Amino acid sequence: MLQTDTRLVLVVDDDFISRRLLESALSKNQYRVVCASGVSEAKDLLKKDGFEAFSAIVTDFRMPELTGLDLLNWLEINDPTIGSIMVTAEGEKRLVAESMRARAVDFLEKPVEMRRLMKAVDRAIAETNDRRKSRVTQNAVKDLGAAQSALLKAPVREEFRRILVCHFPMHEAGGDFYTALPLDNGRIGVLLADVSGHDLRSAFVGAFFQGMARGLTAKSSSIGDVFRHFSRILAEEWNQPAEGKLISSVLMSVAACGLEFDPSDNSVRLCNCGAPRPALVTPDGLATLIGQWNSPLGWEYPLTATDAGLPEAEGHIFFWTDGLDDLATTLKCSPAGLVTDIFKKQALGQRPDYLQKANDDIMAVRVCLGSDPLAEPDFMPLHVDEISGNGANRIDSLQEAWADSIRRFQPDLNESTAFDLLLATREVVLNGLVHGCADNAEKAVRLSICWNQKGSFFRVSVEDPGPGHDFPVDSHEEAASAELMTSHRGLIFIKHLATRLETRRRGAHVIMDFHSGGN
Amino acid sequence: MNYTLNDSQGVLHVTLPGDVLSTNVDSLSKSFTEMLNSAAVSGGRWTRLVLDISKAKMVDSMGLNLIVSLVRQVKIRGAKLEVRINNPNIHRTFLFTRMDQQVDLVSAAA
Repeated sequence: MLQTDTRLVLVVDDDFISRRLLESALSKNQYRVVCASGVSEAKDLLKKDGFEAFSAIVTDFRMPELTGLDLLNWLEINDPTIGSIMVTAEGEKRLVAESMRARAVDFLEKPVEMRRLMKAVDRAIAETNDRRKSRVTQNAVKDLGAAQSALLKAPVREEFRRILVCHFPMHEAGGDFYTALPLDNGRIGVLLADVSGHDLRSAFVGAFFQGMARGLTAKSSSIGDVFRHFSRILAEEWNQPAEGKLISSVLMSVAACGLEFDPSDNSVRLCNCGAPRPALVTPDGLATLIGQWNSPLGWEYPLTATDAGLPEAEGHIFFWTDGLDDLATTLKCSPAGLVTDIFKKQALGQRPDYLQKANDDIMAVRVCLGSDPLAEPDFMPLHVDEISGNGANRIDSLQEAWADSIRRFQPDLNESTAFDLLLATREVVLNGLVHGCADNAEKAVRLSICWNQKGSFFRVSVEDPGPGHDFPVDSHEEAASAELMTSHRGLIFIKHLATRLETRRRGAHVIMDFHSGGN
Repeated sequence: MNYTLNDSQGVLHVTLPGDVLSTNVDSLSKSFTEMLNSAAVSGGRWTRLVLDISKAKMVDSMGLNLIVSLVRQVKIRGAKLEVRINNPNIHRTFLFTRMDQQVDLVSAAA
């Protein structure tokens, strides 16, 4: 094999005189030159000596059997980094465009002017060097991305089997990561984070944060403590100018959600700094957004975020990065419904088509809280929301979003069931907004729509913060018709539209089932 | 909302453009009031009001209450209300709220 020489040029020309002329001229200018009398010989040389041995190629276009363009097309497949110069006969300019498409750096017309040849070869060598440096970087990024993906594979520890992860990166490497952490006394930590940006800097910050979390939790720190510590580093060190300059050209922040789960008593502690609020789906099919949203790490210090505690939580917790929130906004549906659909398709080995519309990495995690770590949830969340108490005038667009959420998961759902679910949900939500929240923006109606696969039915839960009230809907129903009364008609709707109706807290919490076969 | 009055047949025909919902009942109610109070309609010799909601895909409880209030006004006049419905789900809501006992339901698809 030839030694790598940054000035080794391969000259390809079937004409002996032209070949010798080019070789001589290049040699006089301190280039090392290897010659080939045709494309086949050139390919043999490149394969034998290795592509990396050559810094540039000067090739004639018109040769017997194969042309210079054939050589460039072959190089494009085998090593697109080598800068090439095409030599054409006078009047063959139309070939130039094709040559450029095949990544020729330059072209020269015969008779070749030596001064132009040297300039072109210098440019080709510089281009080769740039492309090879870029390839090294790209390969490093790919390796990094592969390493990040490998870390997200199925958890190796027995106690982590209760965690299911979905990851659809949009970039080779980035700052989204998930990690499961063994904590004291058999507790389990789950950390999902999204570092701002999608570059090597993000990947570095992500790796730093992940390593710090592993180290601190191994020394008995809580995830909340990890967040506070890392936020201090971001706010006081990385995001502070040193000698007038920031360490990074942009302020760094991390949206992170951490969960600590104790399997012995099913208690959960949650700390959320900038990530979308997770959804808890209970075994009886009621889903709620849990915890509070706080500023991302790096925005403030001291960190004011507080942990949220859930004693004896049951069911499954779903959480995800804001890339999924953004995609849900684009698709005008609920993030929880997308998470359900993504996990469903992942189980089938499918990649959802709508991910093409994502502008950010998508990562979602499902944690099983029950005693059976592998238990599949009976209910899958399709729509989980907290509707501002003054949102009655938005009810039409809210209803459209519910429709999108259920249709995405059940595209063949019959019209009758969809009608009943949407109309009954509209009635209960409106009742909650007008009466339970009294149109107060500080209050909210909590809504969830879940799908029960085994029973093929939807379960809708609507809860308002009001005191509720008792009302004898059965006896009212006949009078409402006979006397043309307009009060409480929504209750009559709900009673007849739902397959099953349950009320709690004097009607402030309404649970309805809708079987997909219709009422 | 469009309406035509046919005095010779004694019919006031009202067509609604779409759904009858909480979000549009106020404007529909105002339109009904203006129509019923207009000289032509209030002085007309109609004995039947045909309410065509065949373009509606949903009528919620507040929308139905608007129709109930229309029934009241029509009854005061001694007239009858006929409701033309195309959507079978809306038709079902009229049945379970027993509106079929108060108005003549006609399937527009028939």
